[in-house]
Amino acid sequence: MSAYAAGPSTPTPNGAKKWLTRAPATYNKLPGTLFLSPDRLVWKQDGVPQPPVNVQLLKASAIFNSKEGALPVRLKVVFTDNEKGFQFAFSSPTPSEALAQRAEFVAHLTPIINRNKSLLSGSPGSAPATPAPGPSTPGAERSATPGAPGAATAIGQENALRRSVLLSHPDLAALHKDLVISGQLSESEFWHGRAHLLSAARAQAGQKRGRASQLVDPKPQTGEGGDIKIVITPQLVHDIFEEFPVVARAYSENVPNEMSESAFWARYFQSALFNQNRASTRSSAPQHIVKPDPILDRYLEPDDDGSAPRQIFSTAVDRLLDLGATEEDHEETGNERDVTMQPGRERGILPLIRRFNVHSERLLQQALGEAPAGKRRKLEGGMDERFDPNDYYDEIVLDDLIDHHASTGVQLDLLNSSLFSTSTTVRKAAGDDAPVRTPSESRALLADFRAQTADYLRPLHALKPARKAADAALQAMTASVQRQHAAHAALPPIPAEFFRQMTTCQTAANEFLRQFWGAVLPPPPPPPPIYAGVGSGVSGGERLGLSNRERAQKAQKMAGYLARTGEKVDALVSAARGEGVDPERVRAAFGPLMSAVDKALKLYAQRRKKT
Amino acid sequence: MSLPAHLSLILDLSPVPWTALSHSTPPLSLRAFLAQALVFLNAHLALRNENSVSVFGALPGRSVGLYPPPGRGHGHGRRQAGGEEEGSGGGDENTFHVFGQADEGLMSRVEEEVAGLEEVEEDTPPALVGALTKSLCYINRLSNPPPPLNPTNAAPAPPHARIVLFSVSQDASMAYIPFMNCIFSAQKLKVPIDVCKLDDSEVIFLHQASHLTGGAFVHIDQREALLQYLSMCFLSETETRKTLAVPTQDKVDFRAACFCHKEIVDIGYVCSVCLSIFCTPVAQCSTCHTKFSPDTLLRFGGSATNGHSNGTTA
Repeated sequence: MSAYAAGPSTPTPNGAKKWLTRAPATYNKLPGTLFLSPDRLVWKQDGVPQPPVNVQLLKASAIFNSKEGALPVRLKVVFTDNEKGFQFAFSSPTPSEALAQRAEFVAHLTPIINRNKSLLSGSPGSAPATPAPGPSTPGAERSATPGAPGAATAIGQENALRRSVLLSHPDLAALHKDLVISGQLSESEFWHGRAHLLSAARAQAGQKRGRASQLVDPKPQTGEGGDIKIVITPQLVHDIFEEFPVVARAYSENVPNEMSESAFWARYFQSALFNQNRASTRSSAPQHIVKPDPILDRYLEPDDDGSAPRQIFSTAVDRLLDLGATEEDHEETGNERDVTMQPGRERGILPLIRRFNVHSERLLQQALGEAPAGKRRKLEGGMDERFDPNDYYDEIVLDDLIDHHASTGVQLDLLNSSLFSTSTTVRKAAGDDAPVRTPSESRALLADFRAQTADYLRPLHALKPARKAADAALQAMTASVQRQHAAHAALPPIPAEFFRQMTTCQTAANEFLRQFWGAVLPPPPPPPPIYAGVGSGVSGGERLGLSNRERAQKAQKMAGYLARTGEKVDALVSAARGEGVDPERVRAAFGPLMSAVDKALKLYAQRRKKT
Repeated sequence: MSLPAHLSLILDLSPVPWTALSHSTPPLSLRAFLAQALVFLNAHLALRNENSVSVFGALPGRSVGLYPPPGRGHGHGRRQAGGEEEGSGGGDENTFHVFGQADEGLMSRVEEEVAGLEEVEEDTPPALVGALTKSLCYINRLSNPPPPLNPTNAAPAPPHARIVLFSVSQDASMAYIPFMNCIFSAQKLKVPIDVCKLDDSEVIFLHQASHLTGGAFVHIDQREALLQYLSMCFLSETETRKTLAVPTQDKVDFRAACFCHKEIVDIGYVCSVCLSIFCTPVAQCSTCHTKFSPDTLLRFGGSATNGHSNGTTA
């Protein structure tokens, strides 16, 4: 579409400005002109020298259009620091011109907004639009090339995902801020092992919200002075046409021949047709009384409160549930038909209930697609296809009716049961010196053993507890109980700020350890194909692609960081005394961390010596 | 009114460790041990009228129920050679009949079993696990009594049970899997297993047993004062233990035995399906027959580093 300059053009303050496009537009119901330059959006009111709207496009975040075909032709621009944004209505005399102008503006604004979006998501976890250092900037610049409106590249998507993961995990965001922003780790390293978080976020983002299931029911709102007011949005119109095809028919037949659109809606909301289509009770206040309307009343249908609903959706019933199938068998019994089975208690509610049913059926059909039809085809096999009595066999047969031969039970035979038996010979411990006994020695041993168990009463009566030993035992046990108690006694809490320093040191060291072992150990196997297709192609490639040299470099870097961890811990321990915390306690708290760090460093030193 | 308590003793009656123990310093002979155990038993029975006791013995290669005598009615003990009065209950009249019954019944069975030992079997470990299992079955039977013949009578309340295990030898890592199963059953039945360690060898699994079931593990230093230890640590009932501070050994060694060689391992390989432990990577899990992927095996088998703990399989 060619650039189109129309309408009164007011003199610009500095005449050398080069506008990309301009158009007559109203803002706040005032007539004026809208100008767009590569970096600014300006709106000037007619006759007023100073433009009230003059914003930089750096912070533009989104644009919204009004519906095609709905007048007036609107455009709304929203900024990151101004959520409300600015709303303009293109005021060219002919609607097609206004549409063309709006399309022009949209075409120019869209790449700017996309560029802004990529720049925004390039900075991890922070709102301002200043781009962050690191590998994300080349990605953002790549996506900002003009001529690609509306299509965010894979890198941009990836950054958006990372940002959403950080937003939902605040502790991860804190760790990220500590390590990546301060430059110790790079972005890709940070996300190296956390691909599962990203794939979860990706799956969540890919979920689409389904249709709203609420029945369309615009309620009139009472304005001041008793006027009833209903806001008609294009979306509402669309929903009404979908829900009540009668109204769509009435509209297509009468507008714009018999009445204008606004007149149609005004009369519709006051007519009996609207009252019939309601989904809730209406108040009987005087302004809500329905007026008879000659045109719209032609579309009225009689109320749906007979004993059978007018619209029966599924004529095909599952044969197993079909009560009517055996009706001919019941005629001779002489019983009357069951007249107590009336639908609904009051007749007035029946139309409402049936409307709900119709609505639910429509929703189900939309959601499930063609499945009900397929089922129907199967059920009507008697009429359209060859009747296959085995169609229902699977549903009729019950497992209990089948005579399984009484099973004698399944013998649980452990394969390699020798592994589990305890009768094999025990492995002798290293220090066990089993004296080789001669048979006579064995016999003597056994005889002695047997003698010990005979005649129990004598030693029982002669039993005297050894006094000193008993006292010693008592002392020992009491001492051990005391020790246990002392160990479990609650220690005074560490001050919060100091504790936070300790925890950040610990988490940072953990992260370095993770990266170190990730670089040193063999890489994990590739994920099974189910997950590989969901879009992890980008991240999968970069994960497996670390070459040996890169891994060695990473290991070296991490080893350097780990060596510094020891110093950090020492600093904390010496600071502990100043905080009023026992330094030994702090050192003990870091004990496991230090042993892990030592192990890693030892391994690294060994490897370096080898190579 | 609290429930009656049931005490179950598990004695290790293998000749070789006892001989070694009686020659060590300070010595503890089987005779002295049995005397003190009987006093402990009687003390338990004296605490309440409805208290009951059961004893199981572990001999090399087999386990037996010692008291109540299986298959025989109560109170038909053999007469002692000490020339007591002839009576239907046995024992002299100066002894409380409950004590007499229990002591007599137990000792006669012990004598019987020990007399049945034919030869010294050096290598066969005592069947502690078998005895433990039988004890748990007995306790289970007590806890779920058969319905009374007369439906109007209320069924007697099942007692609180606990097990005291006397250990004189090293624990057999052969019996790791059945032993762990016993521990889990004891957990389900809420039966604490107390362990009384008389000698100085390493027992890892008994530690774990007492820790997992909430019992006490006591290593006896002063062997002559065994009774002191018994009455201080093991006599109190489960309910009372909550208010008493029972001395127990806190540091528990949580190592396990590998399923392929029955050796105790620090770091091993765990099947992610059935959680069985192996000391070296295997191609197929022996318990659940899951095939492990060859990539994983390459990683573990071929990696130069060792000691990366607990690799799990895909």
